[in-house]
Amino acid sequence: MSSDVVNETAILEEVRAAVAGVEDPEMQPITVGELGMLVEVSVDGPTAVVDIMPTFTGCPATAYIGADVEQAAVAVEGIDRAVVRWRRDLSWGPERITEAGRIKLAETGIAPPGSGQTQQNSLLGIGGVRCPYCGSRNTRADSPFGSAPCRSTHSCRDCKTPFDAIKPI
Amino acid sequence: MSTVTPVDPAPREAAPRLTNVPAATRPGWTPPDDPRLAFVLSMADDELMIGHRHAHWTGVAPTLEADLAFSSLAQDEIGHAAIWYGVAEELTGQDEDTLAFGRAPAAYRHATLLEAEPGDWAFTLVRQHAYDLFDHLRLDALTDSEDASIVGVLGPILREERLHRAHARAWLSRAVEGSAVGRDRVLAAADQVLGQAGGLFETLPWEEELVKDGTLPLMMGDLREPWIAALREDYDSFGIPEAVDGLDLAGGLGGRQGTHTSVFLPLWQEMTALFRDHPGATW
Repeated sequence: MSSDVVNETAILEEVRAAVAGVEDPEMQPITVGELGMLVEVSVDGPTAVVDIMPTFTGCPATAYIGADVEQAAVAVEGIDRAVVRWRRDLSWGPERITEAGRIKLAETGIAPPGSGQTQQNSLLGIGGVRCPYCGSRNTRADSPFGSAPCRSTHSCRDCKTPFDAIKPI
Repeated sequence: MSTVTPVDPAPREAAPRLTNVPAATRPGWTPPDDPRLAFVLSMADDELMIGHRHAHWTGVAPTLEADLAFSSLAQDEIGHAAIWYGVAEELTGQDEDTLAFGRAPAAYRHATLLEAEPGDWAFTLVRQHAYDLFDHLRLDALTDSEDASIVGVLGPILREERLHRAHARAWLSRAVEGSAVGRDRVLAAADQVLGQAGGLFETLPWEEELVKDGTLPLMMGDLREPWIAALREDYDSFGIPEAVDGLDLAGGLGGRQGTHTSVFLPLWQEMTALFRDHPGATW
């Protein structure tokens, strides 16, 4: 293997780590890598190409995330241009969130997928989503829509705390 | 390559007159040279208009949850519009913003029901329900399209639309279960909405061509029956079967061919003001 190839592989890994570490401006410190938004990263000479998908099609944070991803890629030594492509043909789903992402979401006060949310219970106002604050399942689903397109709103009857959950889709 | 002629970004002096006369009867009307573009724009424009009207409730909805819901619905629908404008961009070479905001009023191809003012809460809910039922049927049918650009973007849209229909159903059933006032308002709204729903299914003169080349698996008019059945089923389950009485599919025509109602011009002026005043602006 030539040293160029080794070098390019190293740069690719560095770019991948850098862009995966970009934080979602609406859910800091959760990163786009942890949310499962990254599709593909490639490096061609000094150019990095990053394919990324929005969580929801109307997500208003995409412009900011795109700019941050670009910045993170060009900050890597050896990269002086980054192309960010939003893949609108792919559908993101909460199942793409990594284990580390799930833990961070819960720590941030957002019930991660797998906490018991279903379309049905969230629409009928039935609870059962695990409260990220106290762990109780004695919760109420208030609305399938939340403070961001990817979240629904709930409240906990035990610790009396309102919270968001990652929307079931 | 076919193109959509963008309007001069400078404010127009004389606004074109808009009428309720179906465009097919309007003298001088010519069909677009690209039926596929006309169809994709009809979906994009539908979503842009309903998204804009949903956004009306941000800050003024009856409950905080409803406020968040309609803000989210608006974001979703405008996101879907952006996707369809993206498909149209492949056909015209013109970017999303130019397609969304840079066309003359008569070039918009949405159903007139979607440009109607938000009205009261009941009108908003009944329209959201009726339109999302239709949109779901349309998207579902398109999964059999032979057009890779169209089929390629259906996944995320369909996934989000499920929540929209569920939202409309949950709210409507709640609204009619309450006081007689709520029920009466929903019935009055159904009368109004279903009286102009025909425009959703308007058969376009160029649709046959699209069916022939496989872009469309069926004529949009073929969605009428399944839509009415789904509507009946939902209204039955809410306990208001009589809500379907006002259905008049001969109403609300013309939009797909560029003929809009009098409320569209002020809407168009508001939506396109920034684009026309500050060409190329980003923020």
